[in-house]
Amino acid sequence: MHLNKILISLCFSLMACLFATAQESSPTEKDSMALQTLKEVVVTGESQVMSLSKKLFKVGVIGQQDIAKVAANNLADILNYNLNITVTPDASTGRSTISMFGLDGQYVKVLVDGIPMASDNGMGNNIDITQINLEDVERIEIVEGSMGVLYGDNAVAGVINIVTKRGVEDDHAWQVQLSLQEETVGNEYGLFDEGRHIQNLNISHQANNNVAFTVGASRNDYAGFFNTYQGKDYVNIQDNTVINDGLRGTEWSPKEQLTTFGNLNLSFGKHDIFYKLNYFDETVTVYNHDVIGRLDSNTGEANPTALDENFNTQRLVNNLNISGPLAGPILYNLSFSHQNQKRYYQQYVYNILQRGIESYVADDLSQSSKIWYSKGFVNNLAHRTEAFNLQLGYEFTHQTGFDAIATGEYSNDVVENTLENYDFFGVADFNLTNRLSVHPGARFTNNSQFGNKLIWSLSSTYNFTPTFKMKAILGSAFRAPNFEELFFYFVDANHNVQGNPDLDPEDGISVFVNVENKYPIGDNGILRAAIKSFYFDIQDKIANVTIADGDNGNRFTFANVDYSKILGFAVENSINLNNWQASLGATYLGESTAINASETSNSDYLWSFNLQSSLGYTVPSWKTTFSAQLKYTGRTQVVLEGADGLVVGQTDAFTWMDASVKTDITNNLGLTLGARNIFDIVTVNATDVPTGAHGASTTSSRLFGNGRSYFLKLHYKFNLN
Amino acid sequence: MKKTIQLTAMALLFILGSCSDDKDDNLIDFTVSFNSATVSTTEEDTTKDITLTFSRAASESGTITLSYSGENAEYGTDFTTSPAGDSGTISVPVAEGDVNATFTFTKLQDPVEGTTKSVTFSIDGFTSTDWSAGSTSSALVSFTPIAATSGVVDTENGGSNIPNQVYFDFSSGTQTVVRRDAWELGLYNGTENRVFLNSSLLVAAVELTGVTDLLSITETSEIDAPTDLYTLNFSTYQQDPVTVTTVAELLAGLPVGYTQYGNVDEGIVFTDNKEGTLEGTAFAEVSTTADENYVYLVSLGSAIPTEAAETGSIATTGDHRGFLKVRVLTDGSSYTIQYAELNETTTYSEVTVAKDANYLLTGFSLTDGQSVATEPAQTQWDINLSGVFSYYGDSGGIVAGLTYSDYVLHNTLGGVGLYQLTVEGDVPTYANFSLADVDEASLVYDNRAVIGSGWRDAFGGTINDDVYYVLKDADANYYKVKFTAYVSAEGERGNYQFTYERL
Repeated sequence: MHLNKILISLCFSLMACLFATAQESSPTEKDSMALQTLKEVVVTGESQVMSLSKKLFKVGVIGQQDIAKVAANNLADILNYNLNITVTPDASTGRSTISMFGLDGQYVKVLVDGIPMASDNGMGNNIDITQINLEDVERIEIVEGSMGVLYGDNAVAGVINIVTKRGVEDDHAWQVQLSLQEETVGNEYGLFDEGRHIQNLNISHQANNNVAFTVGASRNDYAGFFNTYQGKDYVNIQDNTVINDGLRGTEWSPKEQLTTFGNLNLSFGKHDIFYKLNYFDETVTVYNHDVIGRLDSNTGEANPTALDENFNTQRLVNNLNISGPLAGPILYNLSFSHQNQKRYYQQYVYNILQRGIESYVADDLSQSSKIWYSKGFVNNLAHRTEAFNLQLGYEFTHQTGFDAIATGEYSNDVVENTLENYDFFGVADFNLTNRLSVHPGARFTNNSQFGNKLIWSLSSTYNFTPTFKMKAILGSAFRAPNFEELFFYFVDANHNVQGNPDLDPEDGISVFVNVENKYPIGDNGILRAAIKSFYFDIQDKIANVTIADGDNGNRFTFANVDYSKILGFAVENSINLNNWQASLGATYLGESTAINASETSNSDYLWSFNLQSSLGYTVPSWKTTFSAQLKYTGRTQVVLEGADGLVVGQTDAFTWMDASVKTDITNNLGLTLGARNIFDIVTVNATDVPTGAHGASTTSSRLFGNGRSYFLKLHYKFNLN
Repeated sequence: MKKTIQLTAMALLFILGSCSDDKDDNLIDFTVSFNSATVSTTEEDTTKDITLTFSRAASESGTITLSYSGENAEYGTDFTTSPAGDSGTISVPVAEGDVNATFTFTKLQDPVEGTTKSVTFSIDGFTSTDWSAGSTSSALVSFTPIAATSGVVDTENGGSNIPNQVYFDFSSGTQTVVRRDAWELGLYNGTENRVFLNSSLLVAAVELTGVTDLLSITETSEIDAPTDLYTLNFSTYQQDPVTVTTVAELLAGLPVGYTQYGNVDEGIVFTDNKEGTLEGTAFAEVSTTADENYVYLVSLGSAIPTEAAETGSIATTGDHRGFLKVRVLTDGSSYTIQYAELNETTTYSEVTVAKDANYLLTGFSLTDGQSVATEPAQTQWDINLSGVFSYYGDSGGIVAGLTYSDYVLHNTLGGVGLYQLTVEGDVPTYANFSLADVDEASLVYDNRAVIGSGWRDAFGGTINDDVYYVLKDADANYYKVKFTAYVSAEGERGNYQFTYERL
């Protein structure tokens, strides 16, 4: 730890010095480079992927400007403001996962440049979005709806694609960006031990028309949220006796993340090669609230210790994308990826008075996942006719790994498991008239765990006018059972909990209808309005069940028994007028969940209302933008532990609001100042839905935020031509 | 130029921002303390190993120098030490990696009646300048027994399997460690003829009323079993009646567990009572008339597991150790134990054990067929950190064979009294409790389970820090006792610690 921190500081300071000196010698370079006219080398395969999905689905985009406005460092900082996405943080693990249309993170696939991200024990879904750094991100694309045909398993609720920045903005040869961000956590801030401290460095170079590269690093040091807790060095000793008041530690565990990245863009004629390397290191330290108050038998004095835990995640990602024309207008696109994620677990004895680690109880590699992945497709296969076109592709995943946490401490299956997927897919375009087009698609999946599976989609577009468009999408996708559901094992005298390797995937079907139009306002204003309706039907939902197990009594396991139905209506409007930008969106969403398909559970639709709004105003003469975002999250269905087992409950509504000012002090130096979570949300209550049989309701509150926080970001950008 | 300044300023800010508050991990200082501030010798026990404990393992070798001063005691005539101390000091060597060091004190002459003799050893210096003396820098060795005044005791119950019971004597500060599976029966050495069961091993016994011929009984024997037996129904948590007609059917409900048979109202209980009274044993009083002593079926309890439990948990009850049929006879000054395998019909084993008035109970191992040393002499233990403890009874409305962990008993049969204090209102804290606060009437002499397991929170890993105990030993020394831990620093259960002070 200690060494690590020194190294990091050293690296940053070295880099900073390096570029301070580089600056001195710049004038000469400037001349030699100035003549070169560089154009962006951004003709990429990734954009072809998305162009396909844009044709089929409605794609929402969060751009760099949006990211900069809220000074977002990782994906969790920004996704909050999407109308149909809820970010759910978990205080015990420090993870944040997303739910989309009320479906949790297991139903949402997260991609980086079209390639699924390695997650704890899967690929692409259930991603901890706090681990996705935004420093080298060009934009974030959000696709709603079951997208199984294009993206494979787990793309049930939707897909989030993160697009990496390539090349240098504008026509510069070199660009160096440094930024420094200081945040309070609630009202807690200290130079070292409290608050959140972020440093970013990003260097891009466009060598010539054919070669560009970027390297950079980002460090996010979150000291945790203490709330009512007193930190790791707190102990209450009275008369030489440790009083366990449970106040040691933090409410949210501290976390330190370091992301280093690099990418290389090469173009050979019409063929483009994009290589991306990303190394991520995260340390989460969980302080035990209980103190062990043994006396030092030597001195008779209290020698309080605590059993603390440390989770260290390391991930190395290599992504390669090659694209170009194959023959005539036929385009090919190939992606290869190797990802390796490891998590180390330590449990140790922390001596509170001596403020040091006494001994290690556990120091293990608890999770490991290695992924080989490839995806390729060709499009414009039938280019001779306007009326018909075809794309064909394949996707391949080979994953080996183990997860000692998901499979349970007693598992004999803490051996490596291997999962393999071979997928083939095709999408056809039928442009029936100028206005009407239909896109049927299908994907065939062969999975080493659950065999063959066929999924399909049908999308159609009708353009009433060039701006007034309607899209209807009927799509299917499935969620593959996760590691825990398949392989968990905990059997002893009192327990019999076992995963079920025979589980089937959960089938999801979604229907989306989207109507949108654009209206000009005056000379430079524009109003976009969209209305959409959607329906999700998740069958064979995996749930906990109890089954008789011969002489051994009951076995707790998993089975495909539940279902979930979601029906919703949304309106989204945005307006750009002079220096104003405003948006207003609302969703009315009904969710119906059956637990164990039992008769007693309440399977009525629970309706919830979400509202999202943003307002921005730019003062051009000051180079300053004021902005505010608001998101109202209505009550949502959750499954709770009730008096008689699991019940369907609901969380209370809450409102999240941020406001910020971003200004350019000089051409190079920018400043962002703002407040997050203005309504000071820390916990959100969850209650079960009272049913007729028994009126008693249980209330539990879950931690959701850190309270109102303030941030200040200094951003320095420096170009060399 | 302006850019350079800006960049340099940013770089500086950057370095500042990426700095972290790094503290050196303070190594624990190396200190040396006497294990105990007072050490007693007795007439029989003339040699004592005196231990110097270290705050951490020694990172270098060296020597600890001790000085001594005697009260009515001369080196060479009244006592000697090893390493030798005739030069006036003793050099105790320390090797790298040691966590303690010992030297031996040997008493050569007992004091004359009515005088006191003692030697005080003090830590005088070290070869390493980094070493220092801890809080107990001197120790008084008495030539006669003296009551210890205070101490911190790390019990040797042995961790998450709790393999051991520990008997502790406050006045001498000594622990006696006995494996839980060393014995099944405890033969009472008092005037009454009684047989106790080893509750820490989950031993249970049922009388086959009327049966005196040990060899006439097998598993298939039809028996005149107790009527009105009940067992716990798991779905209702109520008592369901059971009917038993053969030995095998009765054995099904004999081992301690939730489904153990019994009937509290009728006094049909296959374990000793929790309170540990003479009248509460599962065995009836042993009669000097042989024909009045019936055959018993004895469940030998649960073996001690060998695989440690997960951190924060315990594993104390392993495989069932089987059943034996047992008959106990007495002539008033000795017990005769006859026992055999259940289906044995030709021969049985017979062992006679004489009563020994020095001890309350003489342990008897049915698996080894002999008496075994278990508890210390009856005046030489005050509490028994039993670890595991079992009895048939009522727990929160559920009547069943219950098994507890972290259980502590006090020596009621040996005349030790004890009561519990919970700090609230005008109850003084442990630190403030003095002799004047002792309430003689509160001392409990008829229930060994006053401490029980109520001193800790089984799930949080924490101690009930508002609870402590007052104890009066058989020699009328008063102690206050407070538990400080039941897990090790590493979180392993079955590592108890308590502190005590003579009032």
